[in-house]
Amino acid sequence: MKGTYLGEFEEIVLLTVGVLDGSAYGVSVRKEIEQRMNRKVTLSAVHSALHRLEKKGFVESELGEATNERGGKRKRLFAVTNFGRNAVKEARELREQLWKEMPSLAFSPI
Amino acid sequence: MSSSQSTILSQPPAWARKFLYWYCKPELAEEIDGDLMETFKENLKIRGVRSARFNYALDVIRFLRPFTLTRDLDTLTPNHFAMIKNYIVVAYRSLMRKIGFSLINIFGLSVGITCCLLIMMYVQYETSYDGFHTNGDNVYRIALDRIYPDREVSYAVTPHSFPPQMVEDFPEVKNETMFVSTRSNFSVTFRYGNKFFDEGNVLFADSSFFKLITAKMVAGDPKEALRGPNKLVLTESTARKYFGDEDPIGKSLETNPLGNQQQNTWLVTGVVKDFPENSHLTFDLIISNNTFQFLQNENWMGFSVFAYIELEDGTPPEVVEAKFPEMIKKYAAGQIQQATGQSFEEYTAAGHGYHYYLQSIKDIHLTSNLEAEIKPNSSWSYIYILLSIAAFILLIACINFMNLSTARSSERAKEVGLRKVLGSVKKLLIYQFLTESILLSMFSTILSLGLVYSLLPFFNILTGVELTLATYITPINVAIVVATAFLIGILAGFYPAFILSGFTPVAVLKGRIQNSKGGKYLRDGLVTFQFAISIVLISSTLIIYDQMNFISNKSLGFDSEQMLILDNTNQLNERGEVFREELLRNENITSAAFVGSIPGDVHPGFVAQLPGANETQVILSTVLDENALETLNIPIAKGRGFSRQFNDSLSMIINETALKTMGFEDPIGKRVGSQNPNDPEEIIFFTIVGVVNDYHFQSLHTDIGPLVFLHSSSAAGPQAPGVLNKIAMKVNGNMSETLLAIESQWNEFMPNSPFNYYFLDGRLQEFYNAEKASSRIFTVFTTLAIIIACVGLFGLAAYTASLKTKEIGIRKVLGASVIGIVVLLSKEFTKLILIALVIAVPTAYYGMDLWLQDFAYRININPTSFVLAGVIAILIGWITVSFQSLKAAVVNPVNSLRSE
Repeated sequence: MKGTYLGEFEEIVLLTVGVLDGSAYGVSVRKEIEQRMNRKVTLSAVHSALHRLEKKGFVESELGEATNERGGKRKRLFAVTNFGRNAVKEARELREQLWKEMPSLAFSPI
Repeated sequence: MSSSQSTILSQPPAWARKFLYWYCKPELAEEIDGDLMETFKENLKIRGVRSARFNYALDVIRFLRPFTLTRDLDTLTPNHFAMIKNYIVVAYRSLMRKIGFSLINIFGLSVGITCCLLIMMYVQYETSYDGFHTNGDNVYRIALDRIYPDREVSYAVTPHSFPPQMVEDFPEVKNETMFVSTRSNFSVTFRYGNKFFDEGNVLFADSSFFKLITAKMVAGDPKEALRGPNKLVLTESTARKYFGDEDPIGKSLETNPLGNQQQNTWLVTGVVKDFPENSHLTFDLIISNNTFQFLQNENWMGFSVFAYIELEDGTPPEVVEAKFPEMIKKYAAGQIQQATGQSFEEYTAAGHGYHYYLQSIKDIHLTSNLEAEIKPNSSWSYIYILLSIAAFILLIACINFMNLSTARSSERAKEVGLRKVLGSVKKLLIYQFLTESILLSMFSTILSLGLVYSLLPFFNILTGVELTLATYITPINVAIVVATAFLIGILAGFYPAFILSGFTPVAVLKGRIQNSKGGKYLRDGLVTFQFAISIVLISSTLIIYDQMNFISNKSLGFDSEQMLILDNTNQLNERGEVFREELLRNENITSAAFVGSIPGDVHPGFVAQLPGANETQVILSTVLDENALETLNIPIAKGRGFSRQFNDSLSMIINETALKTMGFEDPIGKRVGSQNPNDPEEIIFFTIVGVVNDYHFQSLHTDIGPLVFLHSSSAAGPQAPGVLNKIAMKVNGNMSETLLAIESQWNEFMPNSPFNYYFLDGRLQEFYNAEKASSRIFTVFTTLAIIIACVGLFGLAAYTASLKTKEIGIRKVLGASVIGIVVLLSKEFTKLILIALVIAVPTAYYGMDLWLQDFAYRININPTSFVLAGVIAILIGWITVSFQSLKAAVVNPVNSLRSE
């Protein structure tokens, strides 16, 4: 299935959702990424990624309560699913595997 | 900055927000708007109003991404669309899965629909007759039921003095026109320079002709073209025949003197488009009739012209018809008294009567079948027969579909069960199966349109009419065809859909399905019905063939074989006898004689006044010379024939039927009086010199009537134009050589007249053209009906055989023979066909008896026709079924029993 592929940005968003642990929604995810990664991210890119992740089943969502600074609009809160957890884990293991197999010389400190 | 302004400015731009809600999926809009709002408020604190508002707008635009725009089909389109799509997909799959059955269905349906379409086209053509006249709704032909004391004859021709009188006397009658047609009576030779042609399709019409009869005038004035003497109107193709590319207007054609007409040149004053075939009247040339002397004389009795009147808008014909009896009394009584010596009251009391009535011009083709019609007409009963054949064929094809679908229902039972478990309701399942049958019928219809296109030329030969597809492609017809295809789909699919959707899911999924007894009865009933129709059609075809054979082979009482008839011989005038003697020098011509009317011609009437009786009889008559009886081989029963040894100018010969109606004990020497046509005051007396055996001088549709012969020198003979206008000769030996010799002799005698000949037996067969055409059509459609029925039976037999595979295997293991098994499988169908036979025989007998009523001389319906039809049906059924049974019976039982 095409949907199980995890892109680089998607992986970051997925991990961020995990880090935020229950308080992940569009604005908070963007803030977190901007702070930690020191890179500019647009809100629509975050939403798009979250939407894709949910479609692939890596995250699940529910509508939270409305607050005043949101103009009375509810926020959609995201949480990582078990399937999503496994997917990042697999991705990480795959990478570590690759790291292990890499000839040490190539990356030895000068 | 006022505080109200700052409140407005502390909001994101309203247009951007509206835009977001416009494009975004509703279920995402809330959260996105919320996030954007939160960001906006933060930006407001950090960067100020302008930047925050700008960023908000920018973000709204950035959210223009696929995931906010695309709407899923499932959630947003109407459910029906998806369902219909699904129906079509499932229908297609199930049709493809059993391609053989589908092909049988499609084949049957397409052939059925093709037959239907062809017949509908033909019917549409037949009902279109005379629909093109501008005032057609108000134009009527005057027809007559002539009542004699012992019989009644209906004529399409009527006395010519009535129509002008009607216009004068009745305010409802607006216009009238009348004409004489040469068709089937005689022909006129027209000449232009050195070109001459014999024209047998000439009208002698008056100047109001084009007021009532619509014809497209290409040149000339329709009001004036036929006004005045010696005018001529041609059709385009006739004009081309004589004048080529020259302009015909103002040129003249020449003829021999017509009747007592002095002048014989005809000035072309008009050209019309070729007259449509779908009219009860026809012409190639029209000449103005107002100088014919006989039309100037008063005539309230003799049937002379085709007369038409136009009524004022909205006048019911009955209103005018109601005034006819008074009119006849007022005008015709005098002439009747003069001619018969009886007063009108005495005459009607003796059982005579003239019943005039009106025929709508549009109805003539399908309702009128009178004496002296211009063209042979058709009838509604013929149209109904064709329509019912079309309906039957379609029904047979629909039944095939129903039978095959219900028979195979068990195969689809699991599908139905599963669909029901998953929440499908009965209504939706019915829709699904209907979609399948409608799809099938649509496909068949498309196929049959192609078939119609390619079969139309053959159909035209079959029916003898010229149909072209292009005239039928109208929006209404297309809509009708599509609607019919739809209807057929529903008709054929409704019952199977009802049955299939009725399965209870639990029973089906547990494997407890069986074809219901009721379903089997229905299937058997339908097969029986199909075969009953087939047997009716087969036996009807056989009986029609019998009758046609009977007619072709019936002894007519005279010799019609090898009898060559030469036309226009009246133009030979006094050289006639020399011409005849010259002919007899040819050794291949054994005898030759001049005649006025040959059997099959229209015979002129002879008004006979019998001795002692004060009433007259109109008896058909012909003039002939002293050789005619011998040449035509008509035996003399009593007395003598005409002879040169006597002066026969006042002699007459009668046939046996005339003898009976005259009631003479000893006819020879009796005197019969008749009015002198040239001097109405004088009565001429003829002496009966001989009696001939009856012979069929008219078609076998009518009984032999009374007939008198007058000699060619007779004083009272010349009534019709061109008296001895034919020469009949018996020809033997090499036909083409003889014909060449006769032609060269004709050209020697008559270099300016066309050589026009025909064979008598061929001409007589033309009387039965209508029956022959219908028997051909009948045969073709019968064959098709049987083929369709057999295709259905074939499919059903295949299915039954496949159900019984295991049974057959076990029977074979236990020692059954192949033949035994074939018989076993065929037995059931045989039973059905026998039941069909019982239903079909009385139906066919009744129908054919009705048909035979049209013939005065007809066969008794032969029971062997029915036996033969039954045997044919059973044989065809057996062959169809046994092909499948045999296939099932020869299979090695191991193969059918091994796998379970």
